[in-house]
Amino acid sequence: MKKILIIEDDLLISSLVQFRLKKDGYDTVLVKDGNAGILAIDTETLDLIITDVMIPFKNGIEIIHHARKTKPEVPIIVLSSLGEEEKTVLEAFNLGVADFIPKPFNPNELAIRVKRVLKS
Amino acid sequence: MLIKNAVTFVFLLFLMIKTDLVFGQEEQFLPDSTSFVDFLISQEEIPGLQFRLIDNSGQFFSDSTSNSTSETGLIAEFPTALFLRDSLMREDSVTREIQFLVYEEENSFTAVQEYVSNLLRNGDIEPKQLANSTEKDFISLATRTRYSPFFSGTFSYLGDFKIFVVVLTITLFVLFALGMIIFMLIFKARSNRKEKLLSVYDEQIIGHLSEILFENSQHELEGMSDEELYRNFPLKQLKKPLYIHVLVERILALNKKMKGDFKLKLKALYKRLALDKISIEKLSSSKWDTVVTGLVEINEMDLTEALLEVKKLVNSPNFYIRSQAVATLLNLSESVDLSFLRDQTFPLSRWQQMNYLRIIKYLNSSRRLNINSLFSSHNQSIRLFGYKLVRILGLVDLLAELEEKFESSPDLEKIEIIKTFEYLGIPSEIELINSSLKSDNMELISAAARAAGAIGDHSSALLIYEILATSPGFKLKLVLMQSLQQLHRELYETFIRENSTSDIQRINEHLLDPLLKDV
Repeated sequence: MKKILIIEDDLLISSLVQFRLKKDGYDTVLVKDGNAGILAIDTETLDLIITDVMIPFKNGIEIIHHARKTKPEVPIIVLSSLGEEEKTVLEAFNLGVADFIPKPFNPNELAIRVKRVLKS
Repeated sequence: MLIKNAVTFVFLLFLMIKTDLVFGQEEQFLPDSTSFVDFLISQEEIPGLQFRLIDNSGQFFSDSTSNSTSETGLIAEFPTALFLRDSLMREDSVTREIQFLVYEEENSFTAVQEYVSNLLRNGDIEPKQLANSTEKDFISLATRTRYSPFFSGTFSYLGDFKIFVVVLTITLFVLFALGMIIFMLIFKARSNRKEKLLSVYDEQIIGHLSEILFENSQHELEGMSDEELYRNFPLKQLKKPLYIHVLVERILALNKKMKGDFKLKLKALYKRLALDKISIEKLSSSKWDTVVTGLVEINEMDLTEALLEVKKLVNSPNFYIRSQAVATLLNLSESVDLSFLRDQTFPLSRWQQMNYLRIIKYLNSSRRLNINSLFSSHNQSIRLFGYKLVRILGLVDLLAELEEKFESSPDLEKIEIIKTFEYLGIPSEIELINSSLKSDNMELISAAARAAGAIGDHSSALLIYEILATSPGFKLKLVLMQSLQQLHRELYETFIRENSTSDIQRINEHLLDPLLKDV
């Protein structure tokens, strides 16, 4: 069973994403802040990371930096608001994230993208 | 604060401690021999104190026939000893002295005086009032008597008004502080309970929401039976206002963060749970924040059936209610003719204008808004907003209407219309601009001169030249010279040559400087 780490401080979104991914048969690890996210990256065996950009303690870009250093083989999907600075989004892409999903989003669309990223 | 209260409380307790016995000034009782002798005479018998008569040879007097003396010659009462001494002196002319004995031991006069004083101080004997005592003696005796307050125990403090006030103040303060602490504790407990409940409801609702939204289509949600619905959201819980509050908040938050069919599902669920009725009911609340919350919910969940109710609030005296009502109507109305905005009696603030502009800008591409209806409003701020909309949205088809209105409009509106002509670059309106240059209103002339600089012609340049010749104020002079420079360079240079005042030279230097000319 593929394991996906979800780093999202919004309980509503994270629960919904978690529910949808579990329904698709994935194992999920849910954390609410950057520090817990980094700890999970270091300790868990992961197949995919889904992270928000604006999260407490460490932002999404720092998470991506850390993941690229420690687990470069794990793909990352970034969830972020459309209002986010273009610079941040570009930086995320430059760091090699697999996909970028702007909020508001459709969880079904996210599930399709997750499937595509994991296949590739 | 707590430390202060504790110290105050301890001080109060200290004040309350029972100290009913207060001694008078510590002094020796019966300080002189005369008063001591007087006291002994009046007191008669004193426990432990006895007397004996002794002659010059040291022999004590003893008379077994006398009732006053024993075989050892001891006499219990001092007056008896005095009487006996005087009687014997009359009989045998032998001088005898009175010897003092404390518990049958011989003592000096001073030692006996001290002994009796101690008895008095300790309350072992009560002094008998002297028959011939004066008022002074009475006062003297009073100072030697132990003080016992009229109010004994805890109530002793009530006898002194000042202490009573202090005690009362401290008591009230302590009671108030205790009340505050109790209130805070209750408030905190209630707040904690509410937070705990919110967290519990949050978890329950998020779980069920995720399940119901992923497991059912929009049509399934619309046709869902009560039983199935209450399985996810129990009827018992749906009667609780806090649960409803969390449910509404979560659905609204999801609606903002989700897109596609999820939004439609959320709206279907909102109506299926009859939350739309709760939102509409909020519009009748007497609390303005509840009304605004209701309006936001109606707006977010597209409750078009509530539009009639919303329309009633457009002219609400409350700024926030009418702002949100207009925003809701603009967002939800299928045919937006802006008549509700036209009929508003309250002036529009800049914040409201910004808010409405954002919505109208978004709707303008998809709906016919009839913005021209705003030009006929009785409210000047609405008419001005209408002219601004023409300018910002580039509604050139409405310029003819603005031209018609121009002549009959007050100067403030003329300025706004001229700005619109200038912004949209309409040279055909130059006649109106030139006529405004002849106005007496400096602000109107300034706006017209600025517009003339952009869309004016030769006739405008001549008019500006004429106005400059009348030596207007500095600010107007700057605008006029700037426009003249843009319109007619030769005429501008002629003017500079003919007028060499310091103001004009400074403005000229400013306009010719490539770095400053646009500042």
